[in-house]
Amino acid sequence: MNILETRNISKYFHDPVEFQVLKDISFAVRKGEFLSMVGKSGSGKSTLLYILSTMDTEYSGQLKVDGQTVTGQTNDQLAEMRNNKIGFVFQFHYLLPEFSCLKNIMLPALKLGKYTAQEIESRAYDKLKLLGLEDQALKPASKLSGGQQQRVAIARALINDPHIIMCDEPTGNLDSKNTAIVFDTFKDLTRSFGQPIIAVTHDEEFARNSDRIIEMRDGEIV
Amino acid sequence: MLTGYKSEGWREANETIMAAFRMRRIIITLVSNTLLIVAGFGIYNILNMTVSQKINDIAILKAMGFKGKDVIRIFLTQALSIGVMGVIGGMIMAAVLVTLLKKVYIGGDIGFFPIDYELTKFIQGTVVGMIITFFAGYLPARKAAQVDPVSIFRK
Repeated sequence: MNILETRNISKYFHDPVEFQVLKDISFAVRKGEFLSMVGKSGSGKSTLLYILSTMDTEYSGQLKVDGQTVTGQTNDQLAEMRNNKIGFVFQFHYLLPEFSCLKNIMLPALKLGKYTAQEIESRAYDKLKLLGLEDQALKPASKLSGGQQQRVAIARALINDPHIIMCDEPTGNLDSKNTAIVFDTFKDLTRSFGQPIIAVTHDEEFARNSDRIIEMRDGEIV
Repeated sequence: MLTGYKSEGWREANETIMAAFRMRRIIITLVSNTLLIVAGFGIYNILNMTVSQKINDIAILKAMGFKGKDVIRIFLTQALSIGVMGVIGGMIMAAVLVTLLKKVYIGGDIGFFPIDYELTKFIQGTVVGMIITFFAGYLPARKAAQVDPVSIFRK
């Protein structure tokens, strides 16, 4: 069963000159797969990730998430789908600095509204425990170290039990020790929970240890 | 015209004073509306700045699945809370000023300054204030709702 599927996805940049960033990309991500996308800057890997994330809707071709065609849906439908099915981890953590770690993690779940606030809080604690940060729960996010913040971001990505986690350079900003921690966390998630993960990365070692590597060059998968 | 007398009402007899009254009312209205618009621009600016400062946070919220209207609600809430605080502050200040002004003796037939707590004025102030706050908040909020997360993450 494929959690994510693309068919002939192409994308052009029009500014400053007409340029084809992605050329007929077709691939699939299976359940429980830890996939790395590598490639040089400008190879189109981040662009592809943003299309897969459904945030970028200007492309041709077809994208299916969880067996459902999402191409052509309205922004609101896509937002709802993201809230429900996709977790994000970015290079620069992007936590809300004024909120405590716990609140940051709870936010997507409060938006989803599937559980009561108390249930969400205890679930958020569970995720923090999973990442070894339960003692930092009530600190403001800005008071944590970079590695801790990235782990909180991962906990936030997990809170709604997403069908897939997408990461853009998740370790790009971290030292080797924290990279190892983040990597082990991802590995653990795919192994123990069958959590599919797509990570765009420059880190060769990180990529080598994942289940499958997709290398991109000049807008194509090689 | 047979008798040589003519009659006219007090309004016509004192047309100049009536004109002065009208002029005064026009000036008061203009000044208070100008103040409201200035206050509105204040809120508009604060919100615009907040939107620019928080553009990363807006992008991440949208990535996590917040819709345009959720973002609008967040910023409208902020605008309206500024508005509500302003209205409450304004009401208190107005009440204090009226209390003081009532005790000011200006002499003549009038005696004390002719002012009193008028409920309609307080209601008018609240309503107009909130309407202006709403629009001053809605424009930046809409800008925030249209933030394209991809363009932020690319930077």
